[in-house]
Amino acid sequence: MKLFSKKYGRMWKYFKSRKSGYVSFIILSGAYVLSFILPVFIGSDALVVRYNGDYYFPVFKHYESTVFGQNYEGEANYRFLKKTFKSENNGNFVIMPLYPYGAEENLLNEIQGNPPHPPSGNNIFGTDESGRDVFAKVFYGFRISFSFSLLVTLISFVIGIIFGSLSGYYRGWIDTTGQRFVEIMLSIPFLYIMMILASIFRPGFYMLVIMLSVFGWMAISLYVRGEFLRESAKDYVLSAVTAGSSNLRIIIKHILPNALTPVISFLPFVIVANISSLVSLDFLGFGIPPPSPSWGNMISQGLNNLNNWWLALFPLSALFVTLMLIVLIGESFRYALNPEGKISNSGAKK
Amino acid sequence: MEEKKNILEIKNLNVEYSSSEIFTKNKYYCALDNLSLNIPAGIAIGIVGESGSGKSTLARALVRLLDIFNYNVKVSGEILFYTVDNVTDINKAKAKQLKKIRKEIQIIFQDPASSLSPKMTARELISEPLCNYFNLSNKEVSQKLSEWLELTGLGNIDADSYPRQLSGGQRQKVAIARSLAARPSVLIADEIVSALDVSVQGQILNLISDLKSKFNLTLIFISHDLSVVRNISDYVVVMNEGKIVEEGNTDEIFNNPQNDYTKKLLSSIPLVKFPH
Repeated sequence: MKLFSKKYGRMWKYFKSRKSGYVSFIILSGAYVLSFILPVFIGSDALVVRYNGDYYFPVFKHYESTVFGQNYEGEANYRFLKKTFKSENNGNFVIMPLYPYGAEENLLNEIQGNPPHPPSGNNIFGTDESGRDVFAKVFYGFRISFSFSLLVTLISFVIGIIFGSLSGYYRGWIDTTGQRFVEIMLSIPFLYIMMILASIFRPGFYMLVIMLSVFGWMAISLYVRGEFLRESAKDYVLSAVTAGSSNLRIIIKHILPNALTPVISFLPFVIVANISSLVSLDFLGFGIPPPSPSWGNMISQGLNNLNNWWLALFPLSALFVTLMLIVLIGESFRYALNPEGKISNSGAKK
Repeated sequence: MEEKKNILEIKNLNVEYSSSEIFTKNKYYCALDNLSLNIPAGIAIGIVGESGSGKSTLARALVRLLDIFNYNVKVSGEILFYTVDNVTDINKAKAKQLKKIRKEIQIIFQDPASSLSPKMTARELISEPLCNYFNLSNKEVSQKLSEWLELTGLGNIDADSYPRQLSGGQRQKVAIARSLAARPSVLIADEIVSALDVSVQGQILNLISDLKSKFNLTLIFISHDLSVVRNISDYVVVMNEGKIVEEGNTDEIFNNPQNDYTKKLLSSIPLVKFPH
């Protein structure tokens, strides 16, 4: 392993040398990591409750409202509890997350008037048609959209790279049958299949991931195949054969790193495309069903309520910022992978 | 010639490329035409001819590289490879035998910029044959690696540099070290200096002939540059259009060529002196 650490160290150095991509990477990966502990920052469940001498941690555990002397159906409302405890002033307290509203609860009994409510001091991005907090939904939606897109991209890249490299390396009948299969897959109208499948079973998160991956790998396999056809005609492949390497080793160690540069340049656009395709599926109503917070159905709500500008503006800006960060990262990543391009790049700047 | 044992015997080697276009009859292009050649062990044999005469095809046929990725090529005839205890026909060898043969017959390609993977460091490149052909521990590999770098005059480079960070001559030296690291008995040098500066050419040629005598290699030196071949080889084969038109000891061929094509080829030598 020591052999390779230096190699990746150098790549990281190149990556870091471009500030825009590096900063975007830190922002996006930081946001993504934090999004897994999002209920600590944004959510309706209290972090800590002290009630009659006992401590409770509702972030991790569900408590019925009766536990704390409230009489609602279902889970306790900690924002109300906080107010009650404050007025009683007998040593009980509630510590809420920084932003004390969840993505899936409606606030109809807390805010006056009909939803959607415009932005206010408490709900800084306002609420949507059913009275859910938009700010919380945007952030929870980020986690879902981004995880979804990463998973789909990963699976479809793995399938596409394996398929394309075998096809391009072995050629002959493997390539011929493989290519016909790819053509069949490409000619299937994805959206209709999705509509049909979505009407048969209600698609959940993982079901959608699988379906988009199954229909998403062909383009990548074509790219990889083309690269393999081109690269395997070069002398270094023959010289790897004479150096005694097995086919598998030649594919993975010799050709793949050289074939991957254009595929990697493709990567940010695929991530972006997958985020957008989830958004558009949600928008059409075939995506992740509500009340799961998704940018797609937030945007479609925004479209239905054009007078309530906050409904469309915030999820769209979130989408915009995320996509832009990904593209910036992709640019730096490509630069780090392809230092040959370095010369022409710096030349262009001067 | 006769007293030495042959290490390679090529008998009636035919190589044909076909164009496989749909709706047209296959056209064949004959790259090697009924070629027969005996190569004695320990000799430096030079193969000369103009571009397209089939020199490189011959080189690749000897290591069975023609039909790996190309399905439109037909190879027939025998290439017998003699080792101490047995004979194998390279054209009929199975995968396992082929790996043994490829260890014994190594080839260095013309342009080191394309024959070294741009994404691998010199260390990875030279370690590869060491790991594939010998059972060595990591420590032994890195020890051998520095030995080979030293032997090829690369002692002063950073082993972790990529081919693009090396000069043309250094790259070709890496390619030489990589080929020799397999400890072959036959080394095929396919136009190894034609992509290099004239100033570096002499260096590489000296290195090759030093290593040849040091490891007692059979050298098959392919070039279109006659003065280079004259310097390095004991025996010369002149090829034209896939056939051998003339062969003989270097002095005979250069001083007293018989064939018209050879005469024409010799008259085209530019006057360049190589340090030797």
